[in-house]
Amino acid sequence: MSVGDYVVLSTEKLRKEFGGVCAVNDVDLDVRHGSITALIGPNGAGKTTVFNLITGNYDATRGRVTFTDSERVEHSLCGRTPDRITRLGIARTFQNIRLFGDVPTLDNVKLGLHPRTSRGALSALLRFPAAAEEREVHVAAYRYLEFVGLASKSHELARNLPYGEQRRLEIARALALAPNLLLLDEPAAGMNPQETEDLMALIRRIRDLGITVLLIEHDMRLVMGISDYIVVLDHGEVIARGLPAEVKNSPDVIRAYLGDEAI
Amino acid sequence: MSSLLTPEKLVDALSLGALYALIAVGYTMVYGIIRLINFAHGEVFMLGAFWALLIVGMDEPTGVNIFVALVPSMLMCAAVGMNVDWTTYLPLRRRLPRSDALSILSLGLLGIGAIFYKLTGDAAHVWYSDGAHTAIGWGVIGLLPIVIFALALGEKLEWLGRSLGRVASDRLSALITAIGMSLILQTLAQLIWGAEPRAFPEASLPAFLNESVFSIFGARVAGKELVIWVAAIVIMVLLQLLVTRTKIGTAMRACSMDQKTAALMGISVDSVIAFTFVIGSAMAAIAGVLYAVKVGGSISFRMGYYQGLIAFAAAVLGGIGNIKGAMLGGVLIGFVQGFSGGGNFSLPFVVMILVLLIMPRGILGEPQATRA
Amino acid sequence: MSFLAAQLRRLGSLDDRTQGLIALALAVVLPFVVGRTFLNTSLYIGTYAVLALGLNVVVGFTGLLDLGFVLFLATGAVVTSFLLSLTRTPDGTVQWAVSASGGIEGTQIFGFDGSILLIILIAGSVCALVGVLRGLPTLRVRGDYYAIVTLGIAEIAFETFLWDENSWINFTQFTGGAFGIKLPRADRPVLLGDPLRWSSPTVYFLILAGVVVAVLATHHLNRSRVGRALAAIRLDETAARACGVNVNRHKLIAFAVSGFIGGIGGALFVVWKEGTYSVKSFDVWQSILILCGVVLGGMGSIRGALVGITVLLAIDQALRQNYGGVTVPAEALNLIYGFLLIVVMRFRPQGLLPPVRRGRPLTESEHEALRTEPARLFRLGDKDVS
Repeated sequence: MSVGDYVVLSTEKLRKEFGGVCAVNDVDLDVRHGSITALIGPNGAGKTTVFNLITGNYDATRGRVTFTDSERVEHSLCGRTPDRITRLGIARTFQNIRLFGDVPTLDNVKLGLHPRTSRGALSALLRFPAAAEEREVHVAAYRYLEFVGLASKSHELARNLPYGEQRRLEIARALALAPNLLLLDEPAAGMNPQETEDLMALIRRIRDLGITVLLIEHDMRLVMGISDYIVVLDHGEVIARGLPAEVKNSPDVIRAYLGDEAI
Repeated sequence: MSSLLTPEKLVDALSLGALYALIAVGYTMVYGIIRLINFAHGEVFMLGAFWALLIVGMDEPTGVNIFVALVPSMLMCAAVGMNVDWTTYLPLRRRLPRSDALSILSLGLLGIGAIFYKLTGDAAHVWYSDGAHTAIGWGVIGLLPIVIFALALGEKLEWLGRSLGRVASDRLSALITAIGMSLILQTLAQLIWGAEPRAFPEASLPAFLNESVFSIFGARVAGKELVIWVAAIVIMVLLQLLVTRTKIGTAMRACSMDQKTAALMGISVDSVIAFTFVIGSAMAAIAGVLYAVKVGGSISFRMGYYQGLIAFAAAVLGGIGNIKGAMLGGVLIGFVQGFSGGGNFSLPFVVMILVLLIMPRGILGEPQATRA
Repeated sequence: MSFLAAQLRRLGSLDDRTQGLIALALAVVLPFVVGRTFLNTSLYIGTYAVLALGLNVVVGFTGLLDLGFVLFLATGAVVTSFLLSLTRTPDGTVQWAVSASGGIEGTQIFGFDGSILLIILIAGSVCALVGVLRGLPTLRVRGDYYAIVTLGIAEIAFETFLWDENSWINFTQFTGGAFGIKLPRADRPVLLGDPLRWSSPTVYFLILAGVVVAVLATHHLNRSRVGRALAAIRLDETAARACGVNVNRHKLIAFAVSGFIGGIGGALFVVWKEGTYSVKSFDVWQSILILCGVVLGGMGSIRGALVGITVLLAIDQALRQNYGGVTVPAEALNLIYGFLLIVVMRFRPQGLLPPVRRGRPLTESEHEALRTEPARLFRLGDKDVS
């Protein structure tokens, strides 16, 4: 399977207004399978709003979002709740990390396994052959921690981890959902250069496993280093799109970031 | 049910609605800013009636006019409301170690004082005259806000000295604290004044209150109803002006939108919250006194509990956090209550549950997305 | 003293199962050691421990404040009394009489002999349904509303259904109204074929069994996939949704489980009260009392709920005694509950025995086992990596 087999996620004329303020204006977005697509733009350009529209945290004022799952079945995401959308195969991380801080890291990842396990309340209360599935969850959660390099921290409370590790834990939790598409909201924010370097390697590994990545990022070294495709938003509108090299030299992009005088 | 719609009920419903609106605004303003159901608000309403009663005379009329008593009652309620925030909710928003001990000590002393008062009052009522009884009640109740105020002030000063920074308050903790505060105030009132419902003495009520002033559709409107309507309208207009036209009103709106940003803009968030409690509590005091004037013999430690719940239902109906919504919800709930004709609070509550099911944001509530 | 402290610390370091077995062993020995008065108190504590464990599911595990838990106590008790008194008279009509004066000799319906275990199941199920229905209006709004809705519904039930004959729905023929319920002698519950003798050791062990069942059920729930989802909802609803947790469904599960255990508590209440009680005692203070127990012990902690309610009821009982002519007024006890809520929330919000959250570091062999064990659920992308 190569990059660009099919479109995993596409938005058509996506629009979101907050009481007259148009945060996202007719955004068309195509994310091809197996790619790393970056969504960039100045602060307040509407990037996180696009994420929230995709994951169902906001309802779109207008427009369509279509997602193709790993079985190649198309789903319209409009009007679905965030948990339904997650179960379809879109996992996300948050700009301001949202881990379950008072819970050990291993249990954070176990929560990511929630949709793929089935044990209900009744069997839990009566303790039907529980041990088997619980053991599988335990083993798998550990393996996800190992994948992001946190196996030795399995017993620590999530809030006691350093910032960079919290980011990676959040990625592990998202991976545990076995997503077809992974949305990363500023994964490198607050990381030092070495951590960013490690993160880039991790994102590449995730892409190479066949998981499509859509990320929001301000760190241009990361964006230019790993993206296959870049979409630039400004004031809620797409002002440029293309390969990293094309976008880097687009006058519109330079103007959006640096102002008119820069040209 | 031929008597479902009578002009008398319309008059009654309008008055109840006006009173509920006055209480509901207090709930909604606090909820709008600190996102907390202030269970103690109903008790402030109750205390408003009791303080007015103490001033006009609980056992023997002192001859003070009820409208004169209204002013100190409002001041006392404002002090209590503010101190409820400073002593119980503020410490949950910010951790202040040493002052914790002080304010808990004061609360504990108050509790012991109340128990002692009750014990000695019961055992020794032979040598206590009724006058002394009232005087001690006055003393305890008068000291209550003063002590709390002093301690809260200590807390503020300590905060100026060394702040431990903001600790994200657990919502559940705040809610449990609120219900605890409500129960304390309620029980204190019961311990001090007993469970018997009371009424303002006739001597304190100006004659026109019970005289027919004019009539609508054949129903006579007593002076007290008119007073309630006029008071509610004037207060609501003033409140709207306060919120929309003044500096502190702007600060209140800023805090309800985003406390952190408001703080960055140089707004003292804690003062704004305290001010919100003051305004809401003063309005509750007015509502408490007017309610007791309207419904004779209703002053009891339970009045805040039931009327408070109904007023909260009104705030939810109008859209919680929205001041105009609270006014509208209050009037609507008043109609539900007035036309069902009763002291039963189940119907307004059923209305609230229906609202939650059908339009959870209430009538004027803004649609709110779950923010990520 | 330090010896005692050291022993306590040793006890605290034991694992859950050992601690539970030690506690159970003590509880089994208790009725053979202590006197009758104390035994009655332990029935009281046992019944309320079941209620506290039920409340803990919603307040502790799910993080929603329930101020009307007494509704389950009332519903469970009334359902139990109703089922016990259900008889068919010789002339063929079905009767239920909840007071001794109306005691009617008759035959059982459907061969139902008043088996207490069956009654407990039915009372629990009814309360689970009540819990779900009560929670439905709050699903679309912030969790705070749950507190006000539960409080209001419990209050409506208390004021209108339970004992007010003039209310728009009159339930007093089931609840005995203001006079209360006094089950006739003929309507004793039956435990495994034998009529249950009131205030016998059997009653003690029945209630103890109820506590054990509630402890095990909530413990397993907490450790399960559902329990993790409830914790996620408590900590961060948005993040829980991002993990694919169906928040509404899990809240309803919590309401149902909490109601079921509450219903068991209601049925045990009837057994403890020997079939004689007044529904007037099911007021808001009962909810607050149980909540206080849970908050004092530590929300979300099972041993906390047990210890909290025990300590609280012991204090409660001690303060209700007459000390040389001086008694503490009942209202003053309410004052204490109110203070307790505020003080605990302020100084020790995690309670006396907070839930143990921190995991244990894995040993090297455990690491190795986890690394080599086949992991069916470990799947990354389209490529098979396991």
